[in-house]
Amino acid sequence: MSEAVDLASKDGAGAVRTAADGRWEHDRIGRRVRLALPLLAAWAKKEYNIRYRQSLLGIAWSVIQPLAILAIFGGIMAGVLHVSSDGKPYISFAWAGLVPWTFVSSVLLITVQSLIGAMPVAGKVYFPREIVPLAQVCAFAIDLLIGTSILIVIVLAQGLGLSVTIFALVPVDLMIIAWVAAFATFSATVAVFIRDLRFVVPLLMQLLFIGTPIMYSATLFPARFRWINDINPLAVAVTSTRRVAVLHAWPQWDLLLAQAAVAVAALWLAISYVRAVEPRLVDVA
Amino acid sequence: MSEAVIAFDAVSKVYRRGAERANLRAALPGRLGRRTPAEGFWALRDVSFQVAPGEIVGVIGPNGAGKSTTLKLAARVIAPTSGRVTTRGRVASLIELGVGFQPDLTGAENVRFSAAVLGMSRSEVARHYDAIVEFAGIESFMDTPVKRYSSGMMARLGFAIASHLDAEIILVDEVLSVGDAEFQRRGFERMRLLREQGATLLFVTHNLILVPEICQRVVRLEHGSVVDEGDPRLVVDRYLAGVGTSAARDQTPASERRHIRIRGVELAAPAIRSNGRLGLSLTVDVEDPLPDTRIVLVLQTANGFRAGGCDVDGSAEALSHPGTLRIEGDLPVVGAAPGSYRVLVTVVQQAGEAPLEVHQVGVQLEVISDDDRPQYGAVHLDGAWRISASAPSQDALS
Repeated sequence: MSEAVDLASKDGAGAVRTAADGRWEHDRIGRRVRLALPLLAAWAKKEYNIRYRQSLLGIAWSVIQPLAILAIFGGIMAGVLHVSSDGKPYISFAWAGLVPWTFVSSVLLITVQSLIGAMPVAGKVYFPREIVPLAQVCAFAIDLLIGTSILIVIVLAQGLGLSVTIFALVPVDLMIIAWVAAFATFSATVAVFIRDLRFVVPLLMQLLFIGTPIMYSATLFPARFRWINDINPLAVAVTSTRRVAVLHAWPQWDLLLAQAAVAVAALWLAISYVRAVEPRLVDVA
Repeated sequence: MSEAVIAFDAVSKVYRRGAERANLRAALPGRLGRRTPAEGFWALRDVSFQVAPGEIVGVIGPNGAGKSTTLKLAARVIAPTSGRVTTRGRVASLIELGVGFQPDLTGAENVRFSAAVLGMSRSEVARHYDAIVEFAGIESFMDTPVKRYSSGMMARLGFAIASHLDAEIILVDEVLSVGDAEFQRRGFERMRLLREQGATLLFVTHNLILVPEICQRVVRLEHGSVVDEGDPRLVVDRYLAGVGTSAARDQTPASERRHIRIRGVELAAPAIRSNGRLGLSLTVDVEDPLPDTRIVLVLQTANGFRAGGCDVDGSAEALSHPGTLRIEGDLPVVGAAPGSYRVLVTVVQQAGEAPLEVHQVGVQLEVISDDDRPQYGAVHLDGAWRISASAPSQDALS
């Protein structure tokens, strides 16, 4: 037995794997994630390669989508309703909200189907199943980066200038990536068992779009409902992005760090959940 | 210490019957979600076997016997309902060729992705990439999306990836049955090579000719249970001897139960020389004679073609009385090419135009030859050739 344990320490080679009575022995989360990284990278690359294959505009779509929202909603909000944009040019203000929003909505809308769609592969080869939604998250992180770069261009073009606070975009984006990874992992897995989720997620996304101060200012919220924006990770990401890029202020660190900590915990929980139900996934799908 | 590399210990697998509604309960983690279906279909029932390091074990049996379930359990794609499955070492699961192939991606992109799915690290892919492309023999198509490939090209690329996996345990499901003869031969050689490198193979197949050539041991499944296990040739022969029986019994309504059974077919030798004599003896039980019945013997090639056949002379008369018949035959098998054949002995009832199969038993026969020149097909062509070189004719030039 000790020989087997020694072998098992060499990353999968010689590893003893046991499945019994409807479950199987798992690795600890840390080891599981570490062993999954090479496949996660390959899978993310595949998702990225495949996304805009044979499309005319390709990666430009990652900008066109939020641009269209900006043109339509922004036109109504700023042009017709004259909503407040915290005293800053509306385009910079709204784009700062659209960058995290586009990332959250595109990932969650696609990933809810992702594990169901991967069943032809998952039914033949074992791999940690959370790789499938997480690969999408990684592939869309590139779009988030592009959107953020364009935000900087817009801010400069509107003559707002940049301050050192712009570097706080890194922790802000990492926080929202962690949240999206957690939600994506959880929803993709539950959707295998309960297919209704495929219809619920688009609905939730519409509510999230309306209920989050993306196209309007957080100050529109009545004071006694402001706490909603503190617990909504997307709202924290949106307001933080605005503060650091448009208002040249540091984010609310306590809120940001709290959200990040909860997000990491949620991701850990989501992977634990996949690990627990993994032996049944292929049977159910 | 040669500990088993794959061990099945009293493994059962139960599936729920019928189309599933949303399975709320199964979505729950832990004990709650793991409830055994009250009434289910037993894909496997109490299956135990072991595979030693470096061994090639074949799994045979009719459709629905639980072969694929066995492989999926070993691949850790599904979990046993009860019992224990243990594997020791890296597992490569070749349940399908070209697993994960994306039609829109190029051959090169697909090699990288599929290899990663099958467990190859990035450095391994980089190291084997050229060899994979060369093995597949489609260098000039590597930048073409695989949706433009022929199915043969897809299979070759898939197999090329599969055969460059560096795993201790390799699970193979019918992979060799696709592709042309050349492809099968290469796949076959590759499996031998893998064995020489010390890999352990669990190999599911319907190709009973191949089994004794590749495997060291065979496990035969039927209705989810191990019914036979051991030396490949013996297990395959016993399986073939029973194939007609169980299949026919399952399909024949009780009112039409056959009353004439072939109890056994024995060959004087499992192999004969080309142009040698086939000696065989049959035992046939006639409980209740049927009209217009006779015994037919057919020699079938490995790919299912009928190479020859004849009636057993006098069998019509012999079958018309109850009793047990002992029939001995001595047949010169003239002109059969070396290779694997099946001898099919069938009790046939002539119902108008159509002969009905009453009972059939098949046994394996090898035809061997000292002549090592290649032979193609079922008929042995022993050519005498004379080749002479002559100067170009003057007439033709002028």
